Formats: sequence, C-alpha cells, structure tokens
Amino acid sequence: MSSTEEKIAQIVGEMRSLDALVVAFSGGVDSSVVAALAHRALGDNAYAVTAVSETLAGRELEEAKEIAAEIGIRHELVVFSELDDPRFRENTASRCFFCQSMRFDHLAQIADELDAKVLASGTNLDDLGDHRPGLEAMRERRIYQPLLEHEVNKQGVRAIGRALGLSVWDKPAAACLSSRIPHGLEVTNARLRRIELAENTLAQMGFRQFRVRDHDGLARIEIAPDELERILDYDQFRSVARALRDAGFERVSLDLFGFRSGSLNPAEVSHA
Amino acid sequence: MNRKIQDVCAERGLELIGVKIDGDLVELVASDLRAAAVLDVKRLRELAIDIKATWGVRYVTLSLDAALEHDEGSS
Repeated sequence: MSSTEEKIAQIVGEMRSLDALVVAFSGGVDSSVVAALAHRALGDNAYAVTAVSETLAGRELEEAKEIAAEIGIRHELVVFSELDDPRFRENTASRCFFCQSMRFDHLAQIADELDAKVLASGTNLDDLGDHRPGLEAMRERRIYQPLLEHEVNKQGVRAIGRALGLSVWDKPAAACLSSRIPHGLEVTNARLRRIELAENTLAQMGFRQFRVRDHDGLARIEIAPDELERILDYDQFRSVARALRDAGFERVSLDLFGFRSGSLNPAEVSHA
Repeated sequence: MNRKIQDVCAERGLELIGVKIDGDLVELVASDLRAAAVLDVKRLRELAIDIKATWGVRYVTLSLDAALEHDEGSS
C-alpha cells in the first residue's frame, strides 16, 4: 500500500467513527479532498457546505457546485456577509480571523440543522507556515482538520486528490477576494467586484494562476512566472489594460515578480 | 532614487520616461511599451530583484497604461 493509499485509509477509517460530518467546502483541492473522503466514509451523512459571501468569486461558486456533483456529496449553501462586520471591513492583519469566525459560526448553524456534530476544514500542513490568522478562529471552534492531523501537506493533498480521481487535483490555489486588498485599505463591495471582474477577464484570456491586487485603484497584476511570457506582448498589454480599466481600475500595472501567494501578507519576506 | 532607477533600467535595456513611487510600490513607466514587451521574462525579473534589493521596496511593476494612450487620445 502506498503512503497515499495509507493516508486515505487512515482518514476514511477515522471519519467512519462519526455519525455525520459537515465539510467547509470551497471547491478548492483541499476541501474537495476532505469532502471526497467524507463521502467515501459516510455517504449521505456527509455534507459539503459552501459559505457564499461577497468575497467568493462567482466562478469559484460555480466550480464548487460542479466538483460537489462530481464527488456525489450532498451540497448546501449558506449565505452571509462579511461586510456586515466593521472589523472585517477595516482590513487589519487580523481580517482572516474575523472572516473565518463568521464563516464557521454560520457553518455551525447549518451543521446543527443537519444534525451533524462535527465541522471539518481542508487545512493542510503547509498552511501552518503561512500568515493565517483564520486558523486561530478554527482552533477556537475545535474544527476537525483531518489533513493537518494526519500531517498531509499540499503535495500530499494533490496526490490524494489524484488517487481519488478528482478533476481538481491540480487546481491552482485560490484565496478569497479580500486577499487582493492591502491591509489598511477598507474592504468594500465595489473593490471586490472590480477585482472579480478583472480576474474573470484574465481567466477568459486563458491565464491559469494569477491575482489582481487592488492598490486603491491601481491594479497590480500578478501572473504565474511560467505564464508571464504570454502577457509580454503589446496587443496583450492593450487588451488587459482595456479590460481592467473597464472593470473600474484607474491604473493598470504588471508585477515583474509574477504571482506569489500571500504577497500582501505582513510577514512576506521573499518573492520565490 | 527616481533618476537612479531609470539609469538601472536603461542599462538593462528598458528605457523609461518616468518612475512612480507610491509607498512600497515602484511603477516603471516605459518610454516605448512595444519595446518593453519584447524584453524577456528573466531580464525583467532580474531587474525587479535588483530594484527591490537596492531600494528596499516590496513591489516593482511595469505600467500598462501607455498601451491605451492612443485610444484615449483619439476619443
């Protein structure tokens, strides 16, 4: 038995001891793997629940619905607004703590309605090495983190996803739209929507891994280093600049380092 | 700082008409965006790394706004 198969067996075995389980489900590879394992362990007593708010891009929601259908797990939505909380809008370095607190409190309500006592997340071992104040909110709520507890890192998550036949096994990491706004700059619906529009355009152009960071009206585009070559073309510059202006940005600029996860985090120290 | 960044860029083959500095972000404004577009990724990244290391800024970007100047000038 390979180490990937062993992890699958261990986690599924552990989940079988539960009566029911609600998985906080974004449709990314981490939560998809947990949802697929939960479905394998518990069948219809496993639920994937997606928290729908202003910071979730519409295309991410559609992808979440598709992958839930692919897994065959029961899928529920819970709608809430992070913008209701001024501490979130203020956008300090603790923003993710407030967001995840609200998110898991709403998920706990729906878990209660579904008679599921355990809430799970797709947190993996590599998440511990990043600036993630949201993890504290999960710890406070005793969220079950099977990937973390079984010491599965991102590479391991992808290996499990592949072994389970999930189409998202190699899906690029995503993050909520508010992560595109530098700390200290208020999170507003207008900013979130122009970021979403801009990123939809880049996706339609065929780019796979990117972020549009909103520096108070200046769009700073990060494209994965291996895709940067494609944007270095005058006509491409024109198309991108036009589209991002139309989305509502006043200025458009290309980051020469390319995409790096968490580039707006306070602790960022490298551009690898 | 502005002038020195322009000199460093020129040495690497990227002619600038300006540099906009906004906190920890340096935005390079190329004199000819068509010429900038044909520079290779490796050279642009090395340039950004040099600017970051020398001036301690966090972000180094290339402005794409000039690509729309003709559209806006004629509208």
